[in-house]
Order: sequence, then C-alpha cells, then structure tokens
Amino acid sequence: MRAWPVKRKPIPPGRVALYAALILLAFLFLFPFFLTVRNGLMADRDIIGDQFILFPLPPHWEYLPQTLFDSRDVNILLGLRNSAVVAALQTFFGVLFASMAGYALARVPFRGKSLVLGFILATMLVPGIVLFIPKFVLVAKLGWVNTLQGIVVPEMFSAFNAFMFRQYYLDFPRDMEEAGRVDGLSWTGVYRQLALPNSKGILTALGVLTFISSWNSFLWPLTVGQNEKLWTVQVAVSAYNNTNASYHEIFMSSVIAVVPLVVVFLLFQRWIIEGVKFTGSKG
Amino acid sequence: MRSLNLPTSRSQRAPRPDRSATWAFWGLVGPLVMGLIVFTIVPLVWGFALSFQNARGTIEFDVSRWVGLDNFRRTLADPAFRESLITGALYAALVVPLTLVFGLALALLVNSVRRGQAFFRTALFMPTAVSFVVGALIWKIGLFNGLSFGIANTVLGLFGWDPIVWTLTSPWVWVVLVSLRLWLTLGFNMLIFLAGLKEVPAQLYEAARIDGASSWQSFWGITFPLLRNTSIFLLFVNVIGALQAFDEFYNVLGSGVSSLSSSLAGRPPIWYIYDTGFATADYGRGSASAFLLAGIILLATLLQVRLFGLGQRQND
Repeated sequence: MRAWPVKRKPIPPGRVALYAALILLAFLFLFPFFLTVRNGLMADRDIIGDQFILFPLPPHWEYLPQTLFDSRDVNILLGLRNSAVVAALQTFFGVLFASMAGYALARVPFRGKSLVLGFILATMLVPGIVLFIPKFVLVAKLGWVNTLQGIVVPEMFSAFNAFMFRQYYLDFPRDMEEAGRVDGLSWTGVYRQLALPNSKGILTALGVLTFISSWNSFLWPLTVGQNEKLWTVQVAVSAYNNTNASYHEIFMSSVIAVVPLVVVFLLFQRWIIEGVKFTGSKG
Repeated sequence: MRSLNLPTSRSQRAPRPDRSATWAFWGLVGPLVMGLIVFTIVPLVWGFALSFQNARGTIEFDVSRWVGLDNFRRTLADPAFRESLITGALYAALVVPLTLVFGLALALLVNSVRRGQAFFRTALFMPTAVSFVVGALIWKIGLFNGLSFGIANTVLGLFGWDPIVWTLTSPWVWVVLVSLRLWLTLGFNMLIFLAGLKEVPAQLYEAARIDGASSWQSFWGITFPLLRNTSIFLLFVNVIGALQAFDEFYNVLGSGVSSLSSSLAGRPPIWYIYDTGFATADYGRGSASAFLLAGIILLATLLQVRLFGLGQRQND
C-alpha cells in the first residue's frame, strides 16, 4: 500500500497542529465534567487512595438514589424542585414582561416613549451590588424573607431583555401589523396575535438564557431563602461546605445540579448560540 | 451607554398616537416599568437614605438617626474595605485580560476549522452550563484539593513535586479562582468573538491575500480592528462581572478566608458588603459601602470609555 501520495493530498502539518490544539482544549474543558461524574460514582476510599483510578469499575450507581432520596446532610431533591419552580416562574414572567415592553417601545405610538425607554436603560446602569442590600431591606419590609415570592419576584424584571426585544421588534415587518390594524385589532391584539406568535425564536433564545442564569444564581436565593425548605439547588450544593458529607455525595449532588442544564444546553443549543450572538451584536 | 436612536426617520410611516394606543402602551410597558420602579428605584433611594443614618439592626427611615457621612467615613477607614477593593481589583486585573485574549484565541481556533467545528464549539461552551457554586466545589474538592489525591497534585506528583495546599496559600489560591472563572466564562466570550469573526466580510481577506498579506498581517490589519466593538462590549461585561464576583470566592475560600485576608486573597467587595450588611445587620454601613463601590465601578467604567472611545459604535 504505497499509493497514498497519489490518492489524496497529504494533510498539511498546520492542520494537524490545529486539530491537536483543539482536541487538547476540548479535553481540558470537558475533563471537570468527567471528574465530577467519576468522583460521584466512586467510593471515598478510592477517591482519596494513593493509587489513581481513572474510573471506578463497577461504578457505584447506588450513590445516585442515595444522594437524591436519603441524604443525611442536604435535601438535594427539594433543592431541585425549588430551583425548577423559581427558574420556571422567572423565565415565564421575565420574558413575557420584557417582550410586552419591548414591543410597546418599538411599535406602539406614544409621545413619551423615548423617556420611558431612557428610564428603562438608566436602570441597567445601576450596578447589582448597590441594590443588593436595599433590595433585601425592601423584601424584609414586605415580609417576603423566607418566601418563594421573595426569591422570585424581585429578580423578574429585566431591562436588558426588554431592550433586546425592542431591538428585535424594530425590524418586525410593518405590513403584517398594518394588516392586523386594518382588520380591527387593537395594539395589544396585534402584540398578542401577530407579534408574539411570530417571535418564537427570540422568545426561546432569551428564555433559555434567562432560565440558565436563574437556575445558576446563588447570592440572592442564599440571602432571601434562608430557610432550608426554600434552598435552591445551588444553595443546597453550597451547604455541603458546612457538612461532613462524603466526597462522593458532594460530587453526585453536583452532577444532579448540573445535569438539568446540560440537557437544556444540548436541546436548545441552537437558540442559546443565537441568543448570545444577538446579545453581542445588539448589546 | 447605548444610543437611543428612536426611529424618527420612520415616523412618517408610523401610525399616529391616539388614546387607545396610549392605553395599550402603558398596558404593555406597565408590568416591567412597575417592577423596575419597585425593585430598582425604590431600593436605590431607600439604600441611599439608609447610608446616611445609623441603621444598625433596623431598616426603617428615621431622621433622628441621621449621622451624615459617618458610614462612608467609617467604611473608607476600614482596612477590610480597602483589602476587599484590592482583592477585587487584582482579580479583575488577572481575569479580564486573560479572558479576552483566550476568548479570542479560542474563537480563532474554532473558526479556522470546518470539520468538527460544531463539536469543538459545543465542548468549549459547555462549562457555561455550570454554576459558579458547582464549579467552585469541583475546583476546590476535585481538581485543586490540597491533599495528594487532588488532580492538580496528582499531576505534580508525576513530576515528583510535593502537593500544594491550593486553596489555603496565597499565590496558589489565585490560580484556583482565576482558572475557575476562565473555565466558566471563556465559552461565552468565545461565542461572542465567533459571531464577530463571522461578520468580517470574506472579500477583505481575499483582497489582502491578493495583495500578498500573510495571515498574520491580515489578522492585525483586518480582523483585529473589526473586532473592536465586540472587544469593547466584552471588556465591559467582564470587568463588571469580575468586580461583582462573589459565588466562587464564597465557595472556594469558605471558612478559610480569615486566615487569608492578610495575604491579599481575602473577601472580594461584594462579600464585604454581604458581611457588613447581614452578619452585623448594619444596613447603613452596608449601603454606604455598596454606594462607594458603585462609585468606584462607575469611575472605572468612565475611564474605560475615555480610554477606548466608546460611542463610535454603529448601532443597529
């Protein structure tokens, strides 16, 4: 078999180096995922043992139900449920309010519109840290400390998303809404029946991004939801810092906290990429 | 920060405002604007007022507790506050340049291959799915465990080096914190750079190639200047993110933080605010330090605007 020089062009060495670099990088970026799963399925004595074990064989699958259902230290299942509720509510209402406002700002005729837009953009300039303590103070005043609404509601209004929707609706075809107006639809009717159904792409994109940041947020749920019953999955995982939980349990609960988002990532990858790009180009 | 170019040029075509449109406008904008007033403006004003009064253990407005600039003065005099500023500044100074350089490098690498591009992009973006909390635990207990079974120490062991107590010794804890943030945020930065790269017209490279430019020259002559806006956007995002970092410090350092504060890797600014505001329930001092910090961030932002000349940006 000496035919190779004739049959195909040799791969230039630059390409080989390029792919080698990419494969190495992909390995480095994915390794922590592997490590988490490995440690989650491995007995503690093997994790801390002198002999490095690449992967436990057979894996301790029983650690998954143990961590989920009868952990002594942290109730991770409840954390999952709380996170799901918080993230779902914040995503649904956050995106809904932002798209409503974005549409009005882009399309509904109103004289003071630029003032309202200016107000919304100005709130974006307020750094989160300035608001952190007074927002807690307000929530305390409302009697919302240690309540679900205390975790959810204050984080539900995104000026940034509203601005993104406005940028999107500026390019929305005018003919369509004019036809709707001629057919006797009110402005809210046009929004509900024409604009909203025709913006599934951006709704999904910003919705997924909102869901991710909501699922992963930590400081606010830590501060407001001090009661163990309200711990989100991030607060629950963080609470392992103060326990003598076994290593495999900590890693298994990390796996449990990450898997839902990995699934979201793989399912909505196209939308996430679109959303990030849109953010980058319009931001 | 962004141009407010309302479509005045299009107003000839735009429908005229009328009463029903006004109702619709407020109906649609209402929930968001109300939310922003209640959860941004009210806390802003309230916090500002609290910062001028003795608000230890109370959240109520009370003119009789007025202390003037006392909270600000005491915060500025607190060595822990200054330490937290140094920690924050150092962290940003390490994280931001590395993120921008590596983010661009990753984007260029991924952009230069066709086969497998989607796989590499996904692999490098995947860590964005992980929270700082979980990332911190993986880093602290798995990768950078101070005992010999931590992965970093296992690798060092291959070269016959002694294990390092990563999270409890000063220069090393920065390796842990910075590499963690890089792992979590590089994917996002890469994706934004990739989007910027795709917008560079291919003809430009073609023309440069015909003129005999090397790929090195066309990078500095074409790609780099055209990525200017993208880079500025990411610069802002990363500086603000790094200065407001909390989760990774809190979860990596944990209770070890007090022994570290003398060696520069102490609490970052938000943690300081969290501690003064909640641990001691001194909402006046907490608010004052928050406003001081916001002022500093604002100054840093204005400085960046001056340095990088924002506003030349073409919007829409």
